[in-house]
Amino acid sequence: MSSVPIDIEQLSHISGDDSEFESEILLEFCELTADLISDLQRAASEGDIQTTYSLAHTIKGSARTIGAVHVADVAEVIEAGARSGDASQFQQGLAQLIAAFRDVEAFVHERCTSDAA
Amino acid sequence: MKILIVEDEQISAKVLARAVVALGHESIVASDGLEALEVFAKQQPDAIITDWMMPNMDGPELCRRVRAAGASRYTYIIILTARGARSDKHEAISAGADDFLSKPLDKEELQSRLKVAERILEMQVNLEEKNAALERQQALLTEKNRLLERSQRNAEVAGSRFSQLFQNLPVPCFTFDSNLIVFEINEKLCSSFKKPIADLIQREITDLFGKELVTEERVKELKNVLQGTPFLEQDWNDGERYYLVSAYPLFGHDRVVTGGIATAYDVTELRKMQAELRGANEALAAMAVTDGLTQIPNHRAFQDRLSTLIGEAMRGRSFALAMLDVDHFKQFNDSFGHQAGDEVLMSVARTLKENTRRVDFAARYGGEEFAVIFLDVDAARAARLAEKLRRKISEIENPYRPITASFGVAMYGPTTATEQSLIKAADDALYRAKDAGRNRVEFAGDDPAASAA
Repeated sequence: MSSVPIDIEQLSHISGDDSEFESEILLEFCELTADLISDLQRAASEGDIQTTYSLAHTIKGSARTIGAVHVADVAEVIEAGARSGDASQFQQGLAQLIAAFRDVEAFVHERCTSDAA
Repeated sequence: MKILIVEDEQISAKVLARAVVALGHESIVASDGLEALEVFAKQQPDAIITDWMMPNMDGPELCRRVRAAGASRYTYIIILTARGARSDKHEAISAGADDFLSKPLDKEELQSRLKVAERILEMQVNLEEKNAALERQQALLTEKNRLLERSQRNAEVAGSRFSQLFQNLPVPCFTFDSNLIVFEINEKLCSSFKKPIADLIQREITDLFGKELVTEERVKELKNVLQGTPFLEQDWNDGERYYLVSAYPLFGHDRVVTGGIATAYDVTELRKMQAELRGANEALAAMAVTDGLTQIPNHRAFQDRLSTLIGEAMRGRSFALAMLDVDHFKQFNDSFGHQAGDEVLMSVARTLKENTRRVDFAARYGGEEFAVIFLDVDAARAARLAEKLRRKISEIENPYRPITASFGVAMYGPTTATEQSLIKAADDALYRAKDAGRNRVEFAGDDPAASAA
């Protein structure tokens, strides 16, 4: 795990150095992804591979967009597992995903509040 | 451009929409394929940027549906593909996609892709405009062709009608072009040549009719026709063939003379008959004034001649009339037959003809009596001329017996100024000659000088 959970370059690329839009998109990401992760946990525990795959794909997509590299990578591993029908790595993947997401959340929290201040 | 973004994942959709707007375009976001189709139908976007992998309907399927919807103008479709993911781009292109854009978003790439989209759509518009113009032109051309075909058909009908008319005209005609080449010949004229049409057309008029018939003068007349001046019923002949020819100019577009049409009646037979008739008439006229037996002018011709001369004599012309009678002719006839008598009359006539001057006039007056007019003479000269005739007659060789004639001569003058008085004067002199023993010349009145001559 890297010390910086977000690829700042990608982030500023998509926001165009608009800090307001940046904050908006980061906060929205956190909110949505938190919901998606709990959905993913339920689907994985229920062995719903199709839903698992779809949710992992979505998390991966938005994470890559904002530059949340670790979240994206872990989500991609889960997605690949779901695509090949291999559910064995789900729990470990989920733990990693949650950890990565926590890092992002912390980063976002700090960045947005410090920006606001 | 109005750009429809189809993306089920909210963050990416939002970021893409913002980037699209930042590049100066309008963006509409749909979160899945079905919503996208609805928006597409309602808003007619210029371009669609769609995610590949979406629940319910994926990107390629959306492409297919959009293309199948058959919009009035072209919609440019870009499909988003995850960077590094192995996606079947071929499938997407077949489904109707135009280009690809990789995920996550690279704004420069987006800009380039949209530039290409704009360019292609512009070309598409130009193309559509050009097509429309082309279609309009095509329609115009089709209409023109239709009119042309109709007028061609009309021309063909008219042409065939004219051709039939021309061919069946009971008047021999031919047409010629501006180089005086025979273009068409109708059956009537063709039959007078007794040759197939193919041998007659595409030949110069001079060649077809011959230079003797179509002289340089007539070529000039034909050239005048090409200048717009017709000619009517000219007699063309080479001494052997006779044609009655009329020619009229033929006009093409804009009243330009393109050639001419001519009628050429073959009047050879007619002209020959006319010539024969003229000859016959002349012969008939000659017969009317010629004595059948002796072939010299008859009594009637003599009367005409005399009356003419009296008219001329009143203007100062002098002449003498001699009446002569074959001596003892009745006796001769009785003794040797009428045929011998006829021969005597013929030999006397011949003698008179051969021994009178060109200006004189000898005729058979009737029976054995003859009349001779001596022109431009005085009494002495008339007496000498009569005496010469008397002598020549007496020299005629005859198998039966010598022939003689008695002469009475009278000058035209104040007392003999009419036909009757002149003839009577000559006749009286003739009787005196007979009384005096025949075979002599007696002069009218008492002109002893003349009688003594």
